[in-house]
This record gives sequence, C-alpha cells and structure tokens, in this order.
Amino acid sequence: MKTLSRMFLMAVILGLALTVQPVCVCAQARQFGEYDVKAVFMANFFKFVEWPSPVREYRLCIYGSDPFGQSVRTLEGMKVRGTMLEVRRPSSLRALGDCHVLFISSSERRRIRAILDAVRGMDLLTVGDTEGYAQEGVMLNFYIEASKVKFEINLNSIRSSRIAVSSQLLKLGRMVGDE
Amino acid sequence: MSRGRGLLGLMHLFRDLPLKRKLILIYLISTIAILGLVGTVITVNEILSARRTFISDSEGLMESVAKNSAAALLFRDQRDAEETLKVLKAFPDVRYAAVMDKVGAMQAEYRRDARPGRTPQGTKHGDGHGFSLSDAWFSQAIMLDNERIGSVYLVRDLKRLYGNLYRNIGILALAVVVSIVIGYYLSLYLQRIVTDPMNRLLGMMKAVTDRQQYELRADAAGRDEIGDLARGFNDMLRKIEERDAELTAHRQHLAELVQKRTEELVRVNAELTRELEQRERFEQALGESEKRYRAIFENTGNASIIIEEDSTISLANAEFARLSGYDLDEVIGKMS
Repeated sequence: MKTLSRMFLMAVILGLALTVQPVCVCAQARQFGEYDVKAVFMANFFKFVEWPSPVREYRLCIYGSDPFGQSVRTLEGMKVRGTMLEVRRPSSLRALGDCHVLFISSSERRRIRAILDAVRGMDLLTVGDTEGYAQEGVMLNFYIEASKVKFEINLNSIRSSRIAVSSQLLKLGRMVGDE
Repeated sequence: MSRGRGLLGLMHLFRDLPLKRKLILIYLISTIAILGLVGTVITVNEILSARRTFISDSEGLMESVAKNSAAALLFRDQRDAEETLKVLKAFPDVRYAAVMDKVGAMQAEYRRDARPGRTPQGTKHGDGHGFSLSDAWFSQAIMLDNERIGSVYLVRDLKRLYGNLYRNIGILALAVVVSIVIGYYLSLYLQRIVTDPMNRLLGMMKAVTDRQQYELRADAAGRDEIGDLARGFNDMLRKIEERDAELTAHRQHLAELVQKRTEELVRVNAELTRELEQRERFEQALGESEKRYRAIFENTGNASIIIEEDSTISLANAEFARLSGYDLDEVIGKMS
C-alpha cells in the first residue's frame, strides 16, 4: 500500500504539473485507488481481446455488488479502439448475453460455478478479483502483489471459449489451471 | 577565361615532354579525375544509404519493442517491459533503451553494460532521431489503436556503422588505386601504338640526316596522321634522291669535260714546247751561219757591199767603210 500512496502522491504532483486548475488536481488524485487501476485494466482488456462476432459497442458488465463505485465512471462513454464503451450492471444471469467483458464481484463467491455455467458459450471474457476465481474457471482474475495490481489467467477457460486473447496480454499474467 | 589559361598552362607544361610521357600523363589526369568523381559519388551514396539503413533498422527495432511492450505499458508491468527490452541484447550496438508511458515517466530501462549510469541525454527529445560522433538516439511513439500510449527510446553505438563504412570506403579507395596502377601499366604498354611508329619515323629521320642515307624509306603502314607524315616524308626523300642523282650525274659530266679539256691543253702545250725548241735550234743555227758569213765577208780584204734589188745597202764591211769614209751605220739600210 505504500507504493500505492506514493503513486497517489506522484499523481498529485503530475496533476499539479499538468493542470492549472487545483480543483482538477484533487479529482485526479482521488481516482488513483486500487479499483481505479482495475477499472483502467478492464478497459485495456478490450484492446487485447477479439470477439467472434462484430462488435458495435463494447459492453463492460459488473455482476454482483459493485466495488468500483466512482472509478468505473471514467470508463463510461470512453472510446476503445474507436468503439464506445458502455458499463452495465445487469441483475439477472439472462441479461449477460449482451456483455463482452463480465466482472464477477466477490459477492458472488458462492454462486460462481452457477454463473460460469450460465455464461458458457456466450463469448464473453470473465474477470474477477477474488482469490480462487481463476481456479474455478474465471478467465482473468486480479490479485495484489507487492502493492501492484496483477492478474492470473485460466488458459483452459479462454481456450474453451470462442474469444481470442492476445499473447501480449497472456504473457503478463500468471497462469493458473482448473482445480 | 581561367579555364583557357589553365589549359594553356598545361599545354606549356606538356610542351617539352616526350610523347610517351604526354600520353601517360593524359591517361593519369583523366583517370584520376573520373575515378575521383565516381569514388566521391559512391562514397557519398554509401554514407547516405548506410545512414538510411541504420535509421530504418532502428525504427524496425523500436517498432518491435513498441508492439511487444504495449500491453506491459498499459498494465504497468515493468518486469515484462524489461523482458521485452532484453531482446535488444541480440543487437550489440544498442547501448541503451527505455520505454516510457504517455506522460514520459520511465517504465523500463535497458543498458548494455549493466552498471547503472545516468539516463543518457536526449530522453526528453521528441520523436525522431539524432546523430552525434559516437552514438545516435532514436525516439518513437508507442501506438495502440491509434492512441499514443507511450514512447520507446533507443541509443545505438555508431562504432560498427562507422567501421563498416570505413571498410567499404577503404575497399573502394583500394579498388580506385589498383585501377589507376593497372591502367598506368596498361597505358605504358599501349602508348606504343602511337609512339612506336613515331619513334621508327624519328630514327629513320636521324639516319637520313646523320648519314645522308637518302635511299631509306619510312614504314607507312598506318592510315593515321603518322602514316601521312611518313608518306610525306618518303615523298620528300624521293625528291631529294632524284635531285641528288641529277646533281651527281651533272657533276660527273662536268668532270669528264674538264678531263678532256685538260688533256687537250696538255697536248697543245707539248706541241708548243716542241715548236719553241725547234725554233731555238733553228735560230741558233742561223746565228752561227750568219757569224760565219760575216767573218768571211769582213776578212776578204776587199771593200764589199751588198745591194739589194731595191737598191738599199743591206751590208757593208769595214774595208768599205775605210775606203768610202762613211761609217757603217750611215751606210747600211741606205739607198745606194
């Protein structure tokens, strides 16, 4: 966490250097929390993943209780690869078919298998930030190492779906097998 | 103007040189001029193309680094970015490389000599490249989906580039020098095409002037200017020979004439001498007979005179002078 606070400080200084308005400095400084990083990472995932059917609008879905709060707001309306990014919070499993990236909250820890069974064949990239999710079959799972946000990868899950994840992304993660 | 004077000066310099030297000098001057020009053009082109290749190679390297470090940059994976940069180990002249995020903060660094040093000057340059005497820097944006997500910076050692360049230029210079030397010997051999007929002609001319051998003829095989010269020379010789023959014949004739005249003169002279001798003898005989006659005439003791038909007294003796009382001188030659 020390590094994070240092990053926080750096961002403040950076903000000071880059912007004139002090109000803006505060706003930017507030953004650099753990979930800010995770939100940016999720937006970046779109850049390294290919979906089998043409995409008109990228949809990032957050399932379960939303840990991002304000962090995900900056992603709303953002353009990724020239395509609009939309953030959704579907409440039912049936509504997940429209999603491209699905973040499964740690609140769904006990229902994780059922959720994964339900989305099988839906061509979506499953993401989590809960220990053990990757072993359950979530494709990309965030964890913290040395105060840095990292992710594990379940390659079997990716391979059994029809989405293609760039090797550039894959080489950054820690490989995890099914249990 | 100055060019004309230059050529004139050159001609002046050339004037007293033997033909052989002239030909070789002409060859050398033209060859050095041409090869010098060609060598310069090739060298400049070599330098430019080596530089171009070096730049495009560097851009290729940076492109590859950019592609492979894009994800690491976006997911802030320093270790992976460093791994990507380690690939540059395969390129010995890459001294330093760095990947920076879009605001210019250092994400990963690579140094060829592992000891930590200061970041080379120039990391703050914009995109592009720059050359110094010992190294070159390159900077290029890392793009992902038309968005600038960072930049890659590269410093390459120029020692190898310059080494290759010097080697190539050295080989070129060697080739130029060897060409000039070979050409020199070739021209030394081939200049005989011009100088040999000339020298033969010259030698013949010397023989003609030194020993007056006007019967000699030049070898006028070629149809070139030397052949023309030899033919002209031969014509001249023929004319001289003809005139010479005429002159000789004339002289011979004259000598014969002189001889004949001399002989005649000698004969006439001898005749004259003989005649003269005869006359002397005759005169002598006459004198003696007159003396005898006079002695008889004087010593008769009578006065005697001789009167010619025309009555002149041609001779009188002393007795007559005594008797007549006249001097002899008064009597002789007078009419009686």
